Amino acid sequence: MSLLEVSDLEAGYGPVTVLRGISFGVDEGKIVTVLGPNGAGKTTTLRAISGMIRRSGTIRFDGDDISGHSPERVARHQIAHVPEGRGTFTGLTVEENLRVGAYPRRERAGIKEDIERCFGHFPRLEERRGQLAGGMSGGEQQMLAIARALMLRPRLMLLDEPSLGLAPNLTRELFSILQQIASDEGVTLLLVEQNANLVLRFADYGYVLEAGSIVLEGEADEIRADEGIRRSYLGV
Amino acid sequence: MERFVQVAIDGWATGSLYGALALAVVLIYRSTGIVNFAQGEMAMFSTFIAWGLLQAGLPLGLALLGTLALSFLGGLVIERAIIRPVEGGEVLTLVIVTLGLFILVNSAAGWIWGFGNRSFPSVFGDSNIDVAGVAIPVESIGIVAVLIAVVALLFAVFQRTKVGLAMRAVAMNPESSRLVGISVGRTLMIGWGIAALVGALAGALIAPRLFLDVNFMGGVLIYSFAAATLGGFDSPLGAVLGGWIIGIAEGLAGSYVGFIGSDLKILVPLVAILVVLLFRPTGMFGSADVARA
Repeated sequence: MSLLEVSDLEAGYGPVTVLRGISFGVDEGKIVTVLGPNGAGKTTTLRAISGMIRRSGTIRFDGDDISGHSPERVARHQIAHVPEGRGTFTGLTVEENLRVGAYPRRERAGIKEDIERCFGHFPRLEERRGQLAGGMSGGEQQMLAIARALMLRPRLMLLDEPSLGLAPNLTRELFSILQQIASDEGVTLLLVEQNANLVLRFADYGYVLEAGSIVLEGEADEIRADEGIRRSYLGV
Repeated sequence: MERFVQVAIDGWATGSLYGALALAVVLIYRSTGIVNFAQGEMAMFSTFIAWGLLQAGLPLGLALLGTLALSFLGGLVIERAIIRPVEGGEVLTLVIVTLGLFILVNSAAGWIWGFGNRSFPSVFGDSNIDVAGVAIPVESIGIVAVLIAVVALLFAVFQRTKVGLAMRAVAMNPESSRLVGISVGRTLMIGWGIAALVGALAGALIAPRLFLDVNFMGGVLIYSFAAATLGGFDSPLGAVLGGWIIGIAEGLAGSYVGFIGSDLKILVPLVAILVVLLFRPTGMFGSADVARA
C-alpha cells in the first residue's frame, strides 16, 4: 500500500474543473514527480491534496481518509506543502518563519534542535536568522520554504516548482539538498516540476499530466530514456 | 505655564484613551483588513456590563476584571457568528456588516439599559498629586500608565508567545499559515477577543470623564480613527502615538486657540484625518502594501 493514495480526484476553482479524475500513488521513502506543461493541473494536484481548493474523490494518507480535511488538518498529518511562490512570511524573521513551521508541535526542545538541523542543511539561513525573510533573495526564500516545511517533521513533503526563478546552478544545489533530506530524514517527496530533464535525474518515479489527466507514468529513468515521450509530452 | 502643563497632561490622558480604542481598531485591521466601525459600540456595551456588575454590588476592580473577561468572550462570539461568514468578502460588504454591528450593539444596549445617562466611577479616584508645583490628577497619570502597560503586554504577547506568532503569521499570509497547521479562524477569533478586551478597557476609563449612555463612544471613535490614520492603520505603536498627538493637540487647541474653544474641538481629528490622507496616506508608521494582504 502506498503512503499517499489518490483515486478519482477531481478538483478546480469556482466553476472551472481542472483535474478530471486522476488516480495515482506515492510510495513511502520515494521521490515522485508530476510533470506536464503549464496549465496541466500540477499545482492543482498539490493544492487538492492539501485541501486548499474544492475537490472530490478519495485521498488516503497512511490509510487515513483525508479527502475532506481543511489545510490545517492536513498539516497535522505531517504533510508539509511548499507552495508556489514559496509562501514566505515576509514580515517575520528567518527564525520566526521556522518556528511558525513547527506550529502544531508541542515539544520545545525538539523544535530548537530542528531549527539547528535546518541550519545544517542551509547554512545561508543561519547567517540570516535574525533578518526579515522578505528581504532575502528568491533562492534563499526557497530554501527557507523547504526548511519551514521540515520543521513540521513531515512524512510527506509536497513541493511546487522549487526551481522556479532560480539560476541553474542554484537549482542543482537545491535538488541535491532535497535528495539528501529525503534519504537522511526519511521524508517522502511529491514534487511538481516543469524542468523535466533535471527532476527526472533524481526522482524515482514520474507521472505526466496533461489537460487534467494522467497520460503516462513510469520509472523516472525509463521516462527520461524514452525519446518519444520526451518529445511528445515534455518538450525536451 | 502651570495651566499649559495641566492642559497638556490632560490632553495626554485623553489621547491615551483615543489611543486605546485606536489600538483595538488597528488590531483587527492588521489581522483581517476589516475596519471595525462597531469597535466603539462594543466598548460602550462592555462599559454597561461593568456598570451592571457594579449595580449588582461587585467592587469596582472585580467588576472591571469580569467585564474584560466577558468582553473577550464577546469578541470571540462576534467574530465567529457575524464576521466569519463574510470573511474575505468585498470591502463594501465588510463595511456594511460592521456598520450593521454598530447599529445592532447600540440598539441592544438601549433596549437593555435604556437611553438615559449614568455616572461611572473612576478606578483612580479624583485626587490630585503635586508635581513641581503643578496639580496633576491621579486619573490622568493612571490612564497613561495603563495604556503603556497594555501596549507592553500586547508587545510581549505578539513577540514572545506562540499565539502571538500565529496571529502575526495569519495577518501576513493566511494561506501559508493554514499550510503549517494554524487554524486561521480560531486565530482571528482570538484577535477579535483581544481587541474587544482593549476596547472595553478604553470604555471603562473614558466613562468617568463623560456620562455613560448608549452614544457616549460615538465621538471617541472619530478621534480614534484620526489617531489610527495618523499612526498608520496597521501599526499598534502608531495608534498610540497618534492618540497622544491628537489628544494633546485637541486640548491645546481648545484652550489656546480662541475661535475653537470646546465647541469646535471635533475639528481637530477631522482636520488630522484630512491632512494625513492628503499628504501621507500611510500615516507615520503604516506600511504601504498593507492592502495586499
